[in-house]
Amino acid sequence: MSESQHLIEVTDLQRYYPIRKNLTDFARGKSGEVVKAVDTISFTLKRGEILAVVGESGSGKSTTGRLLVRLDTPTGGSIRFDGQDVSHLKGAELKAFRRRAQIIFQNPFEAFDPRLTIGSSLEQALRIHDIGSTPKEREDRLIAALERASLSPAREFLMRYPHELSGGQSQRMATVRAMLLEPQFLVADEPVSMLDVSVRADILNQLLDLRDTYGMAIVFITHDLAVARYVADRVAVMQHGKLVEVGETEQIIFNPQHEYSRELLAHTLEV
Amino acid sequence: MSEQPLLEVKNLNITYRTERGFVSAVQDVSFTLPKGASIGLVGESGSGKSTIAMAVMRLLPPNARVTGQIIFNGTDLNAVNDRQLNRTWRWKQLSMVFQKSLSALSPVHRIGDQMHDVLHQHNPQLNESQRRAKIDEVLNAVNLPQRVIRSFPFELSGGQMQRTMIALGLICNPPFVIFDEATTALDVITQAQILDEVKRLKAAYNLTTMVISHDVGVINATTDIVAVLYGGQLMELAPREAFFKDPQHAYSRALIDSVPSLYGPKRRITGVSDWRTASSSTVDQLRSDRPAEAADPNAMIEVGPGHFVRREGYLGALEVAS
Amino acid sequence: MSQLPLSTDAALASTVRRPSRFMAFWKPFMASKMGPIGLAILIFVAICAIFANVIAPDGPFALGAPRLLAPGSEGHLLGTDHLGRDMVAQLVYGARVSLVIGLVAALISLVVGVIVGSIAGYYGGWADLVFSRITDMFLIMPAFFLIIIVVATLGSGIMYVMIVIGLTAWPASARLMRSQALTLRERTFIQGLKALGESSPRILLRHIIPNGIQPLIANASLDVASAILIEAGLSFIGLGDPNKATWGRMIYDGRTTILTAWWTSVLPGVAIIITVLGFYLVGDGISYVLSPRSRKVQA
Repeated sequence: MSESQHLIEVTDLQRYYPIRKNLTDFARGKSGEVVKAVDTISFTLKRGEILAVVGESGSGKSTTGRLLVRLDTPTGGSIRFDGQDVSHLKGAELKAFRRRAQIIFQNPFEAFDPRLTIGSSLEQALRIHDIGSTPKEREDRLIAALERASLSPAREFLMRYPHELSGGQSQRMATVRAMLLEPQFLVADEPVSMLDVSVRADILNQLLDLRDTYGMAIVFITHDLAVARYVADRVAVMQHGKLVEVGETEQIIFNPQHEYSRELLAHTLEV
Repeated sequence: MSEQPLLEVKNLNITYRTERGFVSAVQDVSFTLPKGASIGLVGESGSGKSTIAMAVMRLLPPNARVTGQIIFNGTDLNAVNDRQLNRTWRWKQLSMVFQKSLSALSPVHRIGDQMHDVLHQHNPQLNESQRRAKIDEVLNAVNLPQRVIRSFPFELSGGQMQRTMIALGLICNPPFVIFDEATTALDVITQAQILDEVKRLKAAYNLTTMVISHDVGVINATTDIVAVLYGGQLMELAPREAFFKDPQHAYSRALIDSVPSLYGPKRRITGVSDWRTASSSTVDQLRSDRPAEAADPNAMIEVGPGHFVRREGYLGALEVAS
Repeated sequence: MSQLPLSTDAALASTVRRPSRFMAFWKPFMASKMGPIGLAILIFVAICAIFANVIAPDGPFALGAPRLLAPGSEGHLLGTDHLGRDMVAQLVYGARVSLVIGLVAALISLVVGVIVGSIAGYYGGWADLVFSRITDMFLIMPAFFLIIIVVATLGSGIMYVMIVIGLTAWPASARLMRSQALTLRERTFIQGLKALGESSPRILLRHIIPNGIQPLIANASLDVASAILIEAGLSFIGLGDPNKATWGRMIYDGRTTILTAWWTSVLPGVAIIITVLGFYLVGDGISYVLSPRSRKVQA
């Protein structure tokens, strides 16, 4: 098996949603309309690279993120992960893929089951994939992971319930949980949008450290170009489901080619 | 120019009575807002900034206890009873624009009906056609099309909803409007448009405003005076330019440093959780230089015209005379 | 010593001295005022039922010579009925039957409702289509008539009564569980579990159901009350189990003498009212615990 140069190759990716026909349309013989959430986009991602996908609500960036980790299935096009076509994986193969591609979400306050302790939730991630053969071994892994993420005292954190974490801690904890599976790829879907501006740095730096320490490839979804500039090597701008511009971060920021990219930059607040 | 300030908050203290005892939300906050100016309250969630805004409007829940003075145009609002407040002050003198959410407006009534309701409640002397004229006027002012009148809230986009909230805030022509995280949930372009709109309206209606936000970028774009809040206490109070050029409090500096820059030089940003390590050394120095003086860490030191800094955390501590 | 308050992170760290999950439920329940009263009533009824054989060692059917004795008579605290059977004995043994019927019927309703509702809500698609139509079918069936038909054809054993009541009450629980599942499946932590690779059945059983079941528990206490009332109604029209001493049957037996010996019908009626009230109040208490918003404290 030849190792492809890119970790991820997205080709003509599509996610269309059919709008249900009503009776009058049916009677008139009109074909159903579709909502093109993701409309034929293509891009690549290298190992150890952070790509920011930037756009406003309705641009399709979140849908793209979900497609990349196969929380959703594309209606057209393909996603190749490390040379393998993962677009329509099912069952055991899909579960194996999940170990390699993980995601953290926008809402840190609902990241964990409120009825379980953090320790239980984290251990569950290990058990799903049979990582660690004894409870003690699993616990050691958890503690090591928390210490690495500066969430200490680790044992104390494991006993907490989700509502006993601040938003920032919860988001860092969600990242720890994703990392327990030792993935090669992470989608971060607007991970700091719901957090106060002053606590965002911790999560952003945590992601940068993942890239530096583990060579993690990350797709970072955001609507904030200043944040994108801070974390990303390359930036992809999306509008209405389409990719309007892709390029090196500094290029996009200082020499944007597309009108929409320029508009986004012009409206970003500076301090 | 000794014109009376529109709003003067003096020694505001707010505590909540909860199942677990008393919780202090705001401690000894004071500031002055001249007519036609805009003050920004900036801080993290839980810093007390929204609580202060709600206190000014007297919209706090029944288990809140408020002491201190909120002097609006010479009258202490804390001493006014609720009925009088409703009849004379609320919405006609002070109004508020909330964060976009479907729960800010009644989801089962059309926008136009809700606006009529507000006018009917606060300006009962107007007749139907006068109300209609007023509604048209404010919708024009916020650049909303007339068809919004017949729409339900869920039919509006985030930006349209926010403009509707602003229109509602202006409908009784109050001289003072509070914007509570009014653009927090909006897209970049929409947020920028709304902020521009607010600036324009402020000039057109000669408004005095209070802007609440956790985003220093928003504060920088829309205010004249900056008030930094942390844990219910005021850390720094300064004119905007002086503040952003050279913040004098360790926490203010940490706040500004925590925001990534779009065009500036690339540097590592840090969260604010460690901000006190920057100031702890200065506090110790202060003590050792003046062992006899029991310096009050909560006192506000004047470091420039209209520029006040909380003693503990003040970055220029060594030069302080007293 | 710095007087500055702790940052949110540090402040949260110092609150980990938290009450156990039981106390987190118990304390507000006790504060609801209605809950503890209901609980006290139910404890009283339960004690009567459990210790029925101690309170009335002769059983409920012991025929006695003195008939239609009024309450307060010697040896019979609440009198006797037209066959000389002691009222107290019948009431406490009747409590056993009523409680068992109520609890079993409510349990059947809860279990069936949770299973059907959660599968329909979580999986959606065909499962939802099929299960929702089944739910609708059971909903439009007039429950009481169905019960009568079943009892009239199959016999009036307690078992049949319990099962039939349970099977006609489940659609309401199913509806509720379905809407809970629909909301829950979109929540971030469920999406996260899917992304981690957790299997759907596990997510349903370990996360959707435990997080969604709370309002159904509050409803369940109402279901118990309603089951007791249905059984009483069945007995009153003569379709109850004649071999068991139930409150409904007591009312039925006493209907001919109601004008001369009011206690034969009224006392069991009062027992039913008190027990049903107990369940309602407990249900109110549970609802109170589940809705923190209703628990405002005055300054």
